[in-house]
Amino acid sequence: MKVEGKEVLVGKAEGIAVVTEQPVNFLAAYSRNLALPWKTGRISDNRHELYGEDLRTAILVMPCCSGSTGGGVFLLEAIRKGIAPRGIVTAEVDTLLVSGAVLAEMWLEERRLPPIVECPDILSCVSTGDWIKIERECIEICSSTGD
Amino acid sequence: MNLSSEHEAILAGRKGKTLQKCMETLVRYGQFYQAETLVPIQSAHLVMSCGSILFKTYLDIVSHLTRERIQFAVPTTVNPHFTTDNPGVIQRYILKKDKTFREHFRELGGIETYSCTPYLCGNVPRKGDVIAWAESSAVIYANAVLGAKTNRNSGIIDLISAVLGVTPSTGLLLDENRKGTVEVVVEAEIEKEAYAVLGYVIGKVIQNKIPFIRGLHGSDDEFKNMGAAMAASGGVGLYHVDGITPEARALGEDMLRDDAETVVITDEILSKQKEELSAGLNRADMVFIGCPHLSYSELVHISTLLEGATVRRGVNLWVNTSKHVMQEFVDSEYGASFQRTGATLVSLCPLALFETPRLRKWEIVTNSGKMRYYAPVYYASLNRCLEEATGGVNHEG
Repeated sequence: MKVEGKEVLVGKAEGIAVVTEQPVNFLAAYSRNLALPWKTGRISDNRHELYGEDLRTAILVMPCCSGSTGGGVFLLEAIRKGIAPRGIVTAEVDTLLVSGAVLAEMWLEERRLPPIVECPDILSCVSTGDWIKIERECIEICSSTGD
Repeated sequence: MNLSSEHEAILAGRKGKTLQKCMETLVRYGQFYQAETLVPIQSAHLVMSCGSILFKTYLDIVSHLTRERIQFAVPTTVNPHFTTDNPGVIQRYILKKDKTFREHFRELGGIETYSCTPYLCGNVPRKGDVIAWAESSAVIYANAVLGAKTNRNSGIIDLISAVLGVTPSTGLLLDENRKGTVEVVVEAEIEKEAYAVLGYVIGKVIQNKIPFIRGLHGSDDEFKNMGAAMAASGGVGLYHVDGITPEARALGEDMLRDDAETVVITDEILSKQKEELSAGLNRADMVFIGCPHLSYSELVHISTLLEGATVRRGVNLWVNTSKHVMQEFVDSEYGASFQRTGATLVSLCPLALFETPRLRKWEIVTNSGKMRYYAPVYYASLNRCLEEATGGVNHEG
């Protein structure tokens, strides 16, 4: 199945979908990991259903962001440190996510950047465990249940 | 995007490479939202004053700016430090770039308020002013209570806007995007202390919508605490209070969209939420009041409640405010009696402070909905917090 979205951060990635219906607070998700001298992508927000999950090899599928205005910068720094998800598909973008993406594009030149795509219907077409390929605004979903 | 010739010149690199990249960042950000132009701002407020090792990109950009001797184009204030005056080993590790950031901020011509309440430290926007503020609790206060216009940006966008003196005309800067998108009817009697819990519930329920709230009669301080909680548990950047906040007062029902859905907040919802936020509190080792920083009148209120009491042994009562307000309070008639209570006045940001292993062992209680959201702490009303600190026996609140 293929769907199209709007590019927020241009790129190409594939991985296993991790789907959450709960908005993601990137400050709470990554602040602890960023302070650590080693790399871990485990979500440190214990109010979130993805608490403890390492998303480094995943495509994160979420409804939107929540929380602190530092959120975009925490995502930016997670990308810089190499602990962000491989890609993000979100039903809705907000200014924090867009600014994080633009800043990554402008100021983290030499790094591999995870694609971020806005796609309003995404939550109804993906389940955790599906394989997702993102190329620019195109999202290809291979269902893990085979249908 | 329509750019002035001056902005075109910056974009073409005629004012150096760093400003060119800054301008390109703002333009690309604006283009995503089809912003037609960059509009002048009156002031800026920045976060991440700690310059901690967490924010490498931020510090990179700041270093580039100071190397080229660039200065802020508008008055620019900054958020509090994350540390106490005697940071432990881990705090020192996390904050080793703190000093560097302070020096850079000074070189850029920043106003060193180090507070999350710039509007209580002289950076007070007027109704209708366009500003570029970071700090979610200050953004929502400026938009809702002061009627100024700012988006919820990532702090770095605000840094860049501060340097260029402009910001893309999009989002909450446009009148058509400032109407309430959800009607929130509060069918509960909201006591002074319940505003933080109310904000927490509203944020959780409506997420990133704009609430038009009916049934409130709070003060600016109460709205400060409500907004801070709302901006943490949800992504709220603006709210209106029927008959009270500037835009609702000026335009009434026109500030609520016709297609807005309605959410009702009852006593039951509030007490359930309060219970959830306080669950597990046993006996506090530390009581923390003041997230966001307290206003002068809140300090006076606390000092009146504490009159004649002293903080019991083995408990810390930290009362957090800006250096600006702290000075005013210490010099006031309340200063001396407050100090006799054994409470400690501090000026910092508590959100990351209690993550360090040494402090994690403490059982911490606060009346702040925002702090309850971000830090490993329990919530209790102000009265109950102060009873925990002084050993009062009434545990009803």
